[in-house]
Order: sequence, then C-alpha cells, then structure tokens
Amino acid sequence: VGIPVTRLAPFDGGAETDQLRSLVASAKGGDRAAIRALLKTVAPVVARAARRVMGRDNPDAEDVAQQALAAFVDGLPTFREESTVVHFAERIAVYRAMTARRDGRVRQRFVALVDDEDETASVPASGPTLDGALAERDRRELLLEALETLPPPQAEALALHFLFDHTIREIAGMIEVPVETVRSRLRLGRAALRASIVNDARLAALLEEGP
Amino acid sequence: MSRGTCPDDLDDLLVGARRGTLSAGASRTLNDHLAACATCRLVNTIGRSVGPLPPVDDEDEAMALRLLSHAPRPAAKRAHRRAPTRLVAPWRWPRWAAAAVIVVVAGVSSAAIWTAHDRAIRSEVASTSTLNDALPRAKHAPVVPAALPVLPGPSVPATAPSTASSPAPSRVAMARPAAPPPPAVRATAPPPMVAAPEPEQLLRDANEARRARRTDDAVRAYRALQSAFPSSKEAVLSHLSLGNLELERGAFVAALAQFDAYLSSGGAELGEEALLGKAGALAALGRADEERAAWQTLQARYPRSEYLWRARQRLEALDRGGAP
Repeated sequence: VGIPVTRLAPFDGGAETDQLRSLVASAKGGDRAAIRALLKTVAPVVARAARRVMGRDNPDAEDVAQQALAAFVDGLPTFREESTVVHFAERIAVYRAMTARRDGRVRQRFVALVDDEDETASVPASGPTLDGALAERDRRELLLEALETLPPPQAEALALHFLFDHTIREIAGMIEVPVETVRSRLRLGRAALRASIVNDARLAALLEEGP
Repeated sequence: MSRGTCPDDLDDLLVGARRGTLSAGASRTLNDHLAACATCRLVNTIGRSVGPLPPVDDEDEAMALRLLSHAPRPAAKRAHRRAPTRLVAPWRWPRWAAAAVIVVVAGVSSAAIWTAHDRAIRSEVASTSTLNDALPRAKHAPVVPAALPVLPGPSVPATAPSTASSPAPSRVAMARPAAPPPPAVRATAPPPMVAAPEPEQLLRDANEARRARRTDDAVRAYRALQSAFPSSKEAVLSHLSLGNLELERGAFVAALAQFDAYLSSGGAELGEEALLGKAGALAALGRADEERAAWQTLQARYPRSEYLWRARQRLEALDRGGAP
C-alpha cells in the first residue's frame, strides 16, 4: 500500500502524514511490506529528481534512480526524520545523480583522450552554443556543468536550492545539518558559481540580464 | 547578516518567488533589493534560468513502475545506455588495453621529444609574453590532468595527448621516437592555434585547457584571444581568467596586468572579482599601499560584495603591519 503522492506538487509543505510516519517506523524495524509501500511512495519523486539532474531523456537516469532507491532502503535505519521521508529520498537521488554526472564527465574526458574514433563519436561534440537566447534546457545543462566543478557539499546545496526550489530550512532537514551550515554552503557556492560564470562566456550572458 | 545588507531570508524569498507564494509586500521587498544588488540579481537569474520544478509526470511514474517491478527498459533507450559508474565495460578491455599501450609508448617517445625541444618550446612561450621569463623552468613541463581516473595496469604517462581532437599525433610520435619532429609531429606540444577561430571558441579552448591544468596552453590561448579580438566580450572576460591563472602560478606582475586590463576595459560587472584578484596580486608583491587602495576601492564600489569580509580582514592585517 503506497501513499498517493505521485502527483506531488513542487513542494508539499513539509508535513508528513501520520500514515507515512508509521510506515517509516515500521520500515526501520525491517517490515518488508512497509519498505515496499515507502518505495512505491518515493519512487516517482526519485525518478523526477534523477531526470531533473541527469537530463530528462538521459538513459542513465534510470540507473541512477535505481541506485538511489537502493541507497534509500540502506539509509532508512539512520534516517533522523528531520525532513519528510520524500525529501530524504529526493536528496539521496540528487546526490547520486550529481555524483554520476561528475563520474561521467571524468570518464568522457578519458575516453576522448585515448579511445578510437567511433567511441569519441558517442561523446557530444560540443555543448550548448554561445547564444544570447540560450534555451532553458541548455542553461540548466551549463549550470549543472558549473556545479560539477564545486565542492560536493556546496554543489548539493545549490542544486537543492536552484533545481528543486527548497528553502534553507528544508535543505537543512534533508541533509541533516544546521541551518547556518546550509546558509554558509549556499553563500560559498554562490561565490564559486559566480567565479565559474566569469570563466564561461556561454554563461556570461546571465550577468547582463535584468531582475 | 551574511552578505552585507542582503536580507538573511533572501534565499527563501527567491524560492518563494519561483514558487509563486510570495505576498505582495515580500515581493516588493525582493524586487527593491534585486534592483540594487547585482549579486542577488545574478542569483535570481540563475534560479529563473533553470526553469520551475515540474510536478511528477507520466514519464516519472512510468520509470517508477519499471524500477519497482524490474521491468525491462525500452529497447531504444537500452541500446544507448551505459552504466553510469562503471569506468570500463568488460567487452571494451581489449580496446582499452590497446589504447593504453599506444599511450604508454607514445608517452615515452614524446618525453624524449619534449626534452629535446624544451628549449624551443620555452622560446615560443616566452615570445608570447616577456612576463613569462620570470617563471621557473619546471613550470613549462607538461602536466597530467589531475582528474584522470586511474586504470589498472600501466599508468598514463605525463605526456598523454592533451585534447580530444588530437589522438592521431600520439601514434605518429610512436612511429618516430627519436628524430626531431617536424611541426606537424609535435604530438606533445600544445594544440596549434592555426585557424582563425571565433572569440568564443578561443575562450572555450582556453578554459578547457585551464580546467585540464594545461596551464601553458591556457595562457597561450587567452593571449591569442586578447591579441586577435581585443575588444570582444570574450577577451574582456579572459583578462580575469588569465589574471587568476597567473596568480595561481605565481606570476604576480602578469596577474596584476590582467586585472588592471579588465578594470580599464569597461568590464564593470565583475569588478569585484577583478579587484579581489588585483589586491591579491599586490599583496603577493608586497605593495601594501596599493593593496590597501584596491581593498578600499572594492569596499566603496561594492558595499554588498561577497568579498567584504576579506577586505576587512586584509585591511586590519595591513593596519597591524601588513602580515598576510
């Protein structure tokens, strides 16, 4: 029995239903039916998070989502319930997806260095082009590329903030750190992101836009 | 207060604006602040750029069902998918091994070539800027990109091919291990900037070289951009990038020249970063009075800057006697 939150709004207010809390308690105790019900509840949100970070049509998103669900089950015993269980699962998915993107970037660089022609052909020849009117999708991709260059804690906080519209308090609950820590990571991350934008002409157009 | 006069709840105001849940008063407060604060405007632009978080859609639900039921994935997607965390698929081992052998042999021969022509290459580098004369000799050695994964077996030599677009020269170098190479055979030399690329391409090349820690390549590319398109937006930006690069490698005079060039080129939008770099270069050069002036300029021009804490810190240190 899953909780019908598959049409979850961008933000559900953070209030967990009693039913979901009791499921979490049972799942922590090893109740397989409860774990199954929780998985049914969080799987669509995990899928959305993986596709949001990896790209909607990226075939690797499904692998990432699968890994995230496995990590979600593994992490349940240590879940401190400082956020909703849905947010807990979403955070795991975001973290996994960001890691996969970073690994993939390293792998692509290496493949480009040593592999043969048909392999390099599978690597995108170029990213989004410099254009004053970059498509929203391209901009998201460029910003994700920039996030990959940041320290993971900052990148994670910025991703949860920019890509998933979470408030500072929500992020603090999701990653189980104090609010001030999140504030600090966002502040440092913003400064680093700004520096990245400085070095990327494709993103520099952002600097010239109005409020 | 974490950012000058920016409200503490600014991030949440921005989230509220994107969610469409701000009250009229909060919305007015936010807009007034955005009109006055360039940094927060940028943050807001970034937030808007990535687009709103969509609700869970049919494709998400379909993926969730597959995940829960372990149903096979659609064939069209499966044909292109790769495991995200697996570095080398088993069926690729022979090709990877062959590639590794080529790279190792090419690396050894290239090292010999590099040694033989180090002087020539240094001359070429020096010709791009007399400021480079002050650099230690070791700085011109080729550098392995730091982020390369470690494969089992022979390690990647320091002279691995440097770009995706030039795999062939490695093989040529392997076939000519000792003879001085003609220009086309300089497999380990930086990629030639022969064509007349657009400024954005030059900047992209330079940035890629910088990220791969091919510092000399990056410096050359930035200077080529500045020389070929001095008034382009990319060239203006490159003053900042190159300034930071020179700062990182200890060429403080060169760095200072780049930051000054940015500040005098009308690139006001990133003046904070330029002043930060300039102050850092001046500090490294021990020019305390000029450093103090740079920090004070930053304070005066950008009263909401993220770097004010650093300015305060350095000014206090200078008042105490200039200790870094």
